[in-house]
Amino acid sequence: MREIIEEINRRLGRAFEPLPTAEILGLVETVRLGGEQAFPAVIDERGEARPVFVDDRVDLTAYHRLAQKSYNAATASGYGDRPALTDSYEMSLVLSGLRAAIDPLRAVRLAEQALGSVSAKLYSTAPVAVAFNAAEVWQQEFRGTEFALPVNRFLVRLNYRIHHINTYC
Amino acid sequence: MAIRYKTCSDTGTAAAHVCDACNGTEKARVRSIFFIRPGTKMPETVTDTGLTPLIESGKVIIIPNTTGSIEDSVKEGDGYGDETGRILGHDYTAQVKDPSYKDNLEFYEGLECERWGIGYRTESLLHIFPDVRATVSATQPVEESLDSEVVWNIQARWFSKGKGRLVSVDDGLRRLFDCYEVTQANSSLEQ
Repeated sequence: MREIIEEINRRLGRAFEPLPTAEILGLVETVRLGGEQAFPAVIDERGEARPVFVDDRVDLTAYHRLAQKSYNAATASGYGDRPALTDSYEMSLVLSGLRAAIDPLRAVRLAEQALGSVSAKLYSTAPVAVAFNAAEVWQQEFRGTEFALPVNRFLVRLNYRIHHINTYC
Repeated sequence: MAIRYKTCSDTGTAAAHVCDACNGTEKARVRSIFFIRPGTKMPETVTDTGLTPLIESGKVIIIPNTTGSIEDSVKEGDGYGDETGRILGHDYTAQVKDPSYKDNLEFYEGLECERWGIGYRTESLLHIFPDVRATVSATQPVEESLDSEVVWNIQARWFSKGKGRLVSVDDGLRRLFDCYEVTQANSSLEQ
């Protein structure tokens, strides 16, 4: 999983290279910051959480979320005694950017291209859907806080899927 | 003098049917397939110790992980007397896929040059036809889908007067159907 996200981020890094300040982050989890407010945060190996906010000083911020992993065992496929086992990771890539630096549709297009081009022997990624309703994305990402996205910024969520073939090896 | 009625059965009567209320059914899929070189004498009782030297000497070649099916159709000849027909035997066709693709071109080219005794493994049984002469072909179809796999499609056809021998697969036999290499230097199986 980490390897796949790192590969996606390498591609995102190249795509958004022209932006002076692009922050491409890894996997976030939801952490509560007192009261009812919850924020996305990158949690390091020591368990320290670094919350992610909409930062006016950054041209573009991107981070990933894992929503669900599902398993599929197809008994009609596979070889030998085993069914064909595949895992699907339902993911999302949240993009927040400064409109003056990059057009939201352009940002989404570059992210789609990065996600659609990742394919290896045992996994592939593919975009599934894009949510453009910033208020809705805000409520899901920054729970318990009022919608306060500056008008000069955009916030979109691109849902994608990682398809992984489980070989047991 | 006495009249003795003749039948085609060795014992003169059909063997008794055996039922077992506890056993489940045998689960399908050709999980492994193996080829027996012509002239090879298979042991009366098939065990791992009996089969291992045949594998080491190349007289039995196992493809351990496959998927596929067997079609078994009755071959019927003319009937005589009151018979509408007479069973001559069975025509078998195996359609099997081997995912070990890249390194087996020479193997399948060689396999097509001979006719083989044949056997296959289902869930817990080996089905063995040591004395048949199966015609084997291997094709390399490629489909359009990005997710589809390029594998060897093996077709084997053979005729057999009788049905295949059934041998239960114990732990020792099962290990012979794992992935290993038969080395040339000391003729031993290496995991």
